[in-house]
Formats: sequence, C-alpha cells, structure tokens
Amino acid sequence: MTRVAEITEAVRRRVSSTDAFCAILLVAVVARFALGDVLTTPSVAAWTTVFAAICIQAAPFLALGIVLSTALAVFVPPEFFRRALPTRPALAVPVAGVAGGVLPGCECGSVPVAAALMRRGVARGPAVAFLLSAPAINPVVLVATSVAFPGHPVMVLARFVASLGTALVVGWLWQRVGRDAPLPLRFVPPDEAGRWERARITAAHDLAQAAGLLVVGAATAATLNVVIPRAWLDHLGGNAVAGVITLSLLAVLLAVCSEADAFIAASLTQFSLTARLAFLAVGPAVDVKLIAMQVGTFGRRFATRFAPLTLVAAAIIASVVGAVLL
Amino acid sequence: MNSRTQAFVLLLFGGALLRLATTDALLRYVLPVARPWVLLAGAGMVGLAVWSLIAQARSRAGTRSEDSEVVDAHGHHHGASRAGWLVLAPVVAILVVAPPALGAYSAKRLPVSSIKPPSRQFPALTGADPIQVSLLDFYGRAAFGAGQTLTGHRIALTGFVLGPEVGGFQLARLVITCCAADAQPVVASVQTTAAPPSRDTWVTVTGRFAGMSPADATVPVLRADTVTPARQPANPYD
Repeated sequence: MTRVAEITEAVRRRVSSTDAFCAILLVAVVARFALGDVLTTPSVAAWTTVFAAICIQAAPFLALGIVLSTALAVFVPPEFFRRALPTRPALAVPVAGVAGGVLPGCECGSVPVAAALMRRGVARGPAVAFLLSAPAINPVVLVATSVAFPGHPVMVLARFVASLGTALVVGWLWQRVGRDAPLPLRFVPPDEAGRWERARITAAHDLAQAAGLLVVGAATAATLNVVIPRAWLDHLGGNAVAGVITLSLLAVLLAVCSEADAFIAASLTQFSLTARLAFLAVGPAVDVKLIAMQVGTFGRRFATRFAPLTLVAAAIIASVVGAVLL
Repeated sequence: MNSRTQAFVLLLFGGALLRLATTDALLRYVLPVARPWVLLAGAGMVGLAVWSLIAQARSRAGTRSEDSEVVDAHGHHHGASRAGWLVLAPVVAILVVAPPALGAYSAKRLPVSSIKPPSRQFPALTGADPIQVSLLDFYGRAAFGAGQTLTGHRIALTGFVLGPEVGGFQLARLVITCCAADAQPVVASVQTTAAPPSRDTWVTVTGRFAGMSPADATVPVLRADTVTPARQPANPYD
C-alpha cells in the first residue's frame, strides 16, 4: 500500500495541473471521434444541447455577477454597507430585499454577489434577502411575466408580492436560525498585491469557481429536462394542493432561468394560477443549479438547511398570495 | 488547479463563447438577443485570462506566487478550488461535440401547443402568394383567432417533420424564450398524399388552413399542395 501511495505522490509532484488540463482536452478530442455514434444518439444530443444552452445563457449573468462581487470585495469599503444599511438586521432585511429588485440579473449572478456582501460584514439575514429577491423581482423578470400572462395582469403583482415576501420572511428567519452557519469561504489574494491585482486574482478565482458550480447544476437540470416526461404532469393538475407541490418541485428540478420561467409557467395550463405562482416563486429562490452553487460558495451545512427552508417558505407564501390575489 | 491552469480554463471558456457569438451556431442554444451579451462575456473572460497569464509570466521572474488559497471562517486552509475543472465540460460540449439544435426527439417529449400568443389581435396577412407564416403565428391565428385571418390565403410553413400520421405527417417547430432548456413545441398537422418525409427533415409546406385537427383540438391542419425540402433556418427556433 505504501508503495502505491509513494508512486501516487511521485506522480502528483511530477504532473502539474497544466499537464492534466492538456490530457483532458486530448481525451475529449479522441473521444469525440471514438464515440461519434453515441454522441449523435437523439437523447445524448438533446442532453448536450440543453446542457450547453444553460451554460451559454447563464454566462453573461455570471460574468455580471462576478464584476459586481469583485467590485464589492475590492473597491467598495466595508464602511459603505454599515452606512447604507440599518444597523438592526431586522430593519436591514427589507432594505436589502427591495435593493435586490434593481439588479437586472438571473439567479446565477446573485450568488457571488450575496457571498461578497457577507464577507464585507453585511449580516446574514439581509444578505440572503438580497440573494432571494435580486433574481425574482427585478424589472426584466416582471416585464417577462406580464408578457407571458397577457390575460392575467394581476399575476405580475402576485409574483412581486410572493417573491418579495419569500425574501423577507426567509431573511428574517435566517437571521435567527442561521446563526451557526459558517461564513462563505474566503479567497485570500496576497496582501502585498495592488488593488487591481487583487481584483484580477479575485475575479479569476471566483469566476472559475462559480462557473464550475454552475456546470454541476446545468448538468443536473439537463438530465431532468431530458428524463422527465412532461406528460406525467397532466395527471397532477387537478388537485389544488398536489398542483402547488408538483410545480414547486418541478421549479427546483428544471432550473429554468428566472427570466424565462414565466413562459414555462404560462404553458402549464393544466395547473391552477396559484400552482403556477408557486412555480414562479420557488424557481428563482431554489433550484438544482442554485443548490450546487450554494454548496460550493457557502458550504454544505448552509445549503442543506437553506434550500428546504426556502422551498417551503416560497410554496406556502405563494399559496397564501394566490388565495388572496388570484 | 494552479492559477495558470485556471487562466487557461477561462481562456478556453471565453474563447468558446466568442466563437459561438460570432457564428449562427449560437442560435442552436439561445435567442438572437443574447448575442451581444455572450460576446461581451466571452471577451471579458478572454481578457481576464490573458491579463492573468501576462501578469503571471511577469511575476514568475520574481518570487511571488499567487496560487490560490482559500481560508474558511475558522482559519482552516483548503486546497485551491477544484470546481474550476468542470468548466472544461461546456467547452468540450460547445467546441468538440457541437450538438445540433433540438428537434423531433425533444418536441415529442414536451406537451404540444400549450403556448399562448402574446396578443389576440391578428393583423390581416399580406405578401406574395404563398404567404410565409411562422408555425407559431399560424397556430396562434388558428387556435386563438378562429382561423379567420388564415382563410382565403395560400400559406407557406417551414418546420421539421415530427412523424407520420394518418393522411400525412406532423410538422413542428420549437419555441424558445430564453434558451433551449425552455423549448416548447408548436405542431401543425399536414394533410398530403405525398409520402411523409423522414423524421427531423426540414420542409416547407404550402397549402390552405383546414380547421383544427379532429384528433387534437389544439393542432391546426394545413391541407398541403406542395411539400419541398428546405434548409434548416439560421435560427431553428420560432
């Protein structure tokens, strides 16, 4: 055994990650020709297309998120947040929640931004309120919702209320129950580096990290997209409670971008408007690609409690808002 | 992963995005409106990667190392990020596998024609005979405008063949609103005596609107005069 360990260690010292990088690319190119038939199988091709599409679609939002989080981490002094946000977290939660509404992004971009906020000393409650509201209630998403539901303008209001409500309730709860959750992992650029140098190192590291985690989520979502026959849903649309539960779980599994989910929701006509509101409230707050990004950014202990809490809160709040407004 | 490899990975991912954004291959995956943003993101990543490689080459002359080090809240040190390796997966998917646009396989698995048109106002069709109409527009006019604006015109529809059916075949197009992950099919029933073309071939069909299908009230029928092979459009989605 020790002999094997020695050899592994020797190999590890000899082979740098740059060598591994070249080897992976070489294998990929060879596999392309060796596996040509497999890759053109309709199911495999559809999976690859959906996987690539999610990565491509998310890339600009991810880049925007990294630009913002790097700016927050390197160029905005920590005192700024202390002055901008109320000192009491209970009051800072609604301020951060509403502030999230002006960032026109989808959910992939808001994870690194929320992590940067926490590292800058913003309390966990306001930070997660921002994390949840930014992708859900920004103008782009609300306009998309009004276009997708031409016959139901009240859907836009319902979505705004349900998503902001989820962000605030989870923000307040998390301030209480998230006390022992660790802070997001901190990447430390060398202290002696200049400001721009620190920005470059931070951005490259965070981008590679966040993009890698996005890939995990994109692969999961593509698998479910290709594997779940959508016809199953037809049997579950009739019952009100089953409808809300089904569409909440579907939002988690499909992981559609928050700027497109309204069009999917609009097409699920076999479900009640309240069930579709639950789909819109849950999707931007918790889905498989977000869970992957949160595990990588905030740690597993954060994600295992935060994801279920958010899912349940969003589904219940959407049901209540739906009962009142729709 | 050391910081040089990290820069190489970002260079490849950014390069793949740039390559896509400068060709029509992009439209197999996302909407045309995404093009400038993908271009910007790709250029930004390539820029960041090149800047990093140059800075690293310069500092290698000195002694400073910038290899990443991650510290958690308790001060424990973790190895450099391994998640970065996964970025190679979409690079391989985009540049090496280069999968085609979604087609009949996906259209068959998704619920048909549950799309609602953004407006119920359908202006009268104009143009040279036969009038080119998108499959989505044809479906909207048929299902939500009672087909009134379609009657009296010869219509040309372009789409891919979903499969044969009694008296003809089904013609389909996928509609996307953001990216291929949210694709939804629109389907028309083409009645023709010609042999149905094989699945996934692109065809242009000319003919007249003939009501909704008796088998499925959400599927409009086109009684076809001609069925001709067509090239897959640059933007394969409606």
